[in-house]
Amino acid sequence: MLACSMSLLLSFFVNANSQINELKVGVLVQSPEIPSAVPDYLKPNEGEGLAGALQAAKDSNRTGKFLGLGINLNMAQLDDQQALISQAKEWMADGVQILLVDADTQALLALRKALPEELILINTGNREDSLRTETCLANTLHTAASFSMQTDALAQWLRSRRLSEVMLVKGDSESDKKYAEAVKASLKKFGHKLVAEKSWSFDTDLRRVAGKELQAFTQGPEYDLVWVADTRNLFGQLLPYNTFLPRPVVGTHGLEAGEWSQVIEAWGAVQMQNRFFKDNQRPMTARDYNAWIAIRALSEAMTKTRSTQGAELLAAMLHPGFYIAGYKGRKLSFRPWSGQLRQPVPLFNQQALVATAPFEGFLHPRNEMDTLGADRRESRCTLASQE
Amino acid sequence: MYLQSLQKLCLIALLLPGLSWAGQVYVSNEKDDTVSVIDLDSLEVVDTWLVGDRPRGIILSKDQKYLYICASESDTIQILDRATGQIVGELPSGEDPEQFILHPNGDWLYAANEDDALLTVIDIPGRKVITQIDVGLEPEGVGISPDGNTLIVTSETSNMAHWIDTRTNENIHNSLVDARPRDAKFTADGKQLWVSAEIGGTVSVFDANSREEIKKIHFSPKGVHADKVQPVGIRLTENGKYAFVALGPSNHVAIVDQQTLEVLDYLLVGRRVWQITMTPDEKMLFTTNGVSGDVSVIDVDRLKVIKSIKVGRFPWGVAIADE
Repeated sequence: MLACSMSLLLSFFVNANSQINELKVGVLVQSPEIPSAVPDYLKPNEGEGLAGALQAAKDSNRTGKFLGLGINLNMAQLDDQQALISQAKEWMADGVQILLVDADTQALLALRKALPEELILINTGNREDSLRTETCLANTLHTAASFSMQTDALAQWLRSRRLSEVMLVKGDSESDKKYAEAVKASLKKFGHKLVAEKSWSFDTDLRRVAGKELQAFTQGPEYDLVWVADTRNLFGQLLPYNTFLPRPVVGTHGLEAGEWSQVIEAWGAVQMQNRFFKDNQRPMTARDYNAWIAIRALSEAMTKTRSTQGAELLAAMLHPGFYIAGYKGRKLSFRPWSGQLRQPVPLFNQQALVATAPFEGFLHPRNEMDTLGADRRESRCTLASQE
Repeated sequence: MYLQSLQKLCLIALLLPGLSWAGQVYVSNEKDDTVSVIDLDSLEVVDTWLVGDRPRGIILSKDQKYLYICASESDTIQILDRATGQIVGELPSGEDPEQFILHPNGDWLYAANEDDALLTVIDIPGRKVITQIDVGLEPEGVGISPDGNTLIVTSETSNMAHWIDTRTNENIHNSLVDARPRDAKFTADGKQLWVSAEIGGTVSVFDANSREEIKKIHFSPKGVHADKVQPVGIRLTENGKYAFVALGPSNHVAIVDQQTLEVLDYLLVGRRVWQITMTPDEKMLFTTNGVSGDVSVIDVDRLKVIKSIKVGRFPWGVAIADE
């Protein structure tokens, strides 16, 4: 009798495994425009973002096979906005319901406009704050942290270290300007003082004269630190140790704030770092992580709902009880108003994890992680009606 | 005269702690590649043994003569002779063994291979691998029923407890639990299975027969943010009275009534408490506190923390021999 019931059970699981119900996901990455002045060692890796999605699909399908659920990925990296749109349309015709997108603001807006609303977008690369506060996109989640999440994390750290007088040095690209705006808002939010603001627009070759040029450039009033806004890696990497006053450098260089770095090893992260390195022969970057966590969130929603319907999955991900484990030591969830992934923001340099925001003492009535980035009252977006 | 020689004997015993056969506690120090030896009477560290890379899981052989140690980064399970503190052999473990458990027959060892999503079944006398079983991603906690017939392995990223029949080594059932399951323990009567979920912040209690969840236990030690309540190690007393649950970075151990499944109290221990083990007489409980690098000792009768003992860097596992 026992043997009989056992074999029945076994066959049940074999059956469940053989019929995999698949969710089709597209992953679109817009090739970044890299100025030739950027040193090679700071250029993005080939396939950044895509590799993270692939890793997550592998991870998730291991769980899924026990439940008869699977994720099927279509991936492309393209330059042109129009090419991105036609690729997305082609995939949609083939049954793709979810699209991960890493693209600039213009391309992201164009994609959302060109594609029907039932196609769910997950932004894995764009940090622009207005996409979370003003320009609210239909059925769109963001796993990339916004600029203000990054700058709030650093501004909290400044408080914890009693540093408050800031010299801001910014580049002249569009994203440098957006980042600098976020810096200024964070300084205000956390009670710091902007004592000087400088724009770096020079195009001299700094490699041999960085000390001389940058020291002269960072002269000015007394400051506790230099905050650099150089999202393209044109000069920021040369600022640490080259400021006129010997002060720390934070921002896009020096002490950075981001979703992920190879220096994160705690909370079980080392296992994923190893897994990723083994498959890709390079460390996992923030753009890989953002794609990874997007797929993991989908997989978790599939496990919860046992569904592969896009709309059901989106509703599940925005449900108040939904959370995912992301090797960050806390539950990650989506802000229901903007679709932004709530997450701790690690602060790190190239060699070590320095701290993790939110810091103790920054309280919030709902969730301490909401002290980072645009809170509900600072946003016009209302993606999900329920809290 | 007699007293004098007794004193001498004691002195010798103190000088040669490795040879003493009093009860001892063994703590694996993940980042020091050592095992700290604590004397059960004096509650002091009496020796530190160098072992393989990144020692984590640590258990005693059935005859209590040997310690088995998962040397995760050496990709092996080391056999350590308790009498000498020397490594006397190795068991094939598969890659990156983290936690393991001994079958009640004393001959079979089940090790979770975290990096490979496998469970390795090892024959100790033959020092060979019997088989490897495909499980979910990042397998971690392993538990075995008192009759030895049912083995549980939890997978941290798949959020599942896999039920394995040890007679066939087949995966017979999968139960979904909350995020990052870490430990699985059967009650002494074999009727219940307890599974902790670190990020979920819960312990799920299953009926071992129907494999249905009976209850999900939540924890809320005073003054601790809910996100920091991260259950890892579970210990169930054999008399069916208490369950102790290590709550990670909340720095507390929860005491749960095994009968009513209600939380009775919380005890403050060292920082980031993960694993717990009880003395065989169930009078003392030892917890490993990874961040503060110490071990807290809890008096089970009085339910009080009576001492903390400094050990190596990142203490992980703990095993106790009563003789």
